Amino acid sequence: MQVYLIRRAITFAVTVWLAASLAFVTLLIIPGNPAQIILGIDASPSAVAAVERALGLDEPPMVRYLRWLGDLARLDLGTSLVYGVPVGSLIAERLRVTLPLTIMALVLATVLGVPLGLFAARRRGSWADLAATAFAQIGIATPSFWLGIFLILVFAVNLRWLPAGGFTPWSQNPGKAFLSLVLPAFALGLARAASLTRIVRSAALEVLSADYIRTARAKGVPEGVVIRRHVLRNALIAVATVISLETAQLLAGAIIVENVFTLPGLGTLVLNAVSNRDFPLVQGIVVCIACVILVLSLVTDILYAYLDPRIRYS
Amino acid sequence: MNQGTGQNKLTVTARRLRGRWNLVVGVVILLALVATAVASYFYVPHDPNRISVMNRFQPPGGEFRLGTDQFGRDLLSRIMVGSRVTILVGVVAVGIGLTAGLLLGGLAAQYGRWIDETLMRLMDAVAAYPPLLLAILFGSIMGPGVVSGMLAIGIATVPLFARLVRANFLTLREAEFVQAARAAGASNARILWRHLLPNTAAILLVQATIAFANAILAEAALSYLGLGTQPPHPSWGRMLREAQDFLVFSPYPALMPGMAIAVTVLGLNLLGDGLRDLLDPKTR
Repeated sequence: MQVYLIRRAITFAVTVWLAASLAFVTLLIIPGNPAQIILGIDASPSAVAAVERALGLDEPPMVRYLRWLGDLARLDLGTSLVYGVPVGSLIAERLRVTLPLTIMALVLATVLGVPLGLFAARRRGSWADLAATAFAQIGIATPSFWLGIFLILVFAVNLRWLPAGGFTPWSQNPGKAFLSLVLPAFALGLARAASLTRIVRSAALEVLSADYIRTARAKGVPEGVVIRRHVLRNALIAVATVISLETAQLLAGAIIVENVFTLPGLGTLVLNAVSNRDFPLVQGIVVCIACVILVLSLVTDILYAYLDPRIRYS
Repeated sequence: MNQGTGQNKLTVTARRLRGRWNLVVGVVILLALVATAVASYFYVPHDPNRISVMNRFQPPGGEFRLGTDQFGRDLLSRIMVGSRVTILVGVVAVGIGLTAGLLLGGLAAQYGRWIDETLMRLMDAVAAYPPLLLAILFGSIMGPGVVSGMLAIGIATVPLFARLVRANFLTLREAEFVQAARAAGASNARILWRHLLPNTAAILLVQATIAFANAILAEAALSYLGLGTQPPHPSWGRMLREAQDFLVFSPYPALMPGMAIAVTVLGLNLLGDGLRDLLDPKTR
């Protein structure tokens, strides 16, 4: 296990380096001079040259890359062109919205998806199974932003139960802050719940047909215990593996859902940065999200080894 | 005689399709999508960009089958024309993913060692970028538009195909029939063409169908965010965005394009599942 962890740590470091470099290289190879793009086509050559100097674009790419990488290693993501403050602090501030939203959506997806998947597997071929499978298929196909729009129409505009958008800061009113994330979390989490339902159902079906389940039942182990001790535990292994994938989807999805509900999170920040041509900010956010996804996949791999006693990496 | 054989074939096909409702529904939806896009070049009920204040927020039925939007534009015509972008993005993105994935996965499997290790770490790095994130990165430099969106969605799908091709090629290479072909003196190219590719095609087809569905969702999201198709060209995601502010006046301008996206994605996912059931001997 230790050897595995060391090897995994090395590959992780290499992958993070490559992923971060990709964001840098993309800005290099895609046509267009950032300074020109920031100032517009009518800008004078001297103004363009000044911005190029300010951005360090007048230096050779290799020098820029090494400096950028060095800064990144010290967790310095650069300074936003528009806000004039460090990209890192902007991201940290916006995470106060995006992180709780992602966690709420993930909890919702798990609380809804796992029991529903188990339930469908236990009643395979029944109407209940068909309904759960239909929910899963339709849920995966429904765009989160479309769902979000109609959640606003029904629960905010017509019923007036929850706010239609915007965000009250946690420091002002935690209750209101939570309520403003409920509808977005539903819009974001429902497709993930649907996807989890499918995965848990098929994982549980595989476990249910295993010999040890038949043996447990033959021994007279109560059905509830069989489900809890054997089926759920093994299905959870599947859940642990997909959770990193799901979280990646949730983070990307948060960009859209925050936009639907006008939440001041990472998603709205990155979109503003795109329209303002704030390259350091776009690059910083993109690298940050990619790294979070890589960390999650590392955690999942290790968790996987702990959850499944059959897996012992060497 | 010929007619008899034809009928037999039909019966056999019908028998194969029995119990595979997801495959049938998937094929029907996909055909409907393609037919809609093709038909939109020859016939649309109204000019999709014609503004008519008199006809704002018409409910479905009558002259405007699916109703009209906030500018009085016909929703059906706009959905029909919008389906072209949907198909284009799906085909190009999956094409990029499939071609690059085959090439990179094949190279990794064939040469192994450091080439394999480097390519696979690179794929891990690309896989850390969800399609939307990559599209945002590209859009910030190339400017928002269909091309940067297609490119980003396509590149984001490459790791999926590359890993699949590599894993399949590695397993197949050890299979007895490939070893036998090698012992009989077959060249690498012949083994690739006659054995590895045909035996990977089924799994790639299934994956391509699902990747197509995901590409459509990603394009809709991009257009919704204003990073995909630019106005006045209609696209389903963009129609939703524009309709959002007028939801209290009429839900249909948002409902219809959303339904189009959901039904198309549902159809492609069902098709993918159906193909997997049909082609995977384990589930037969």
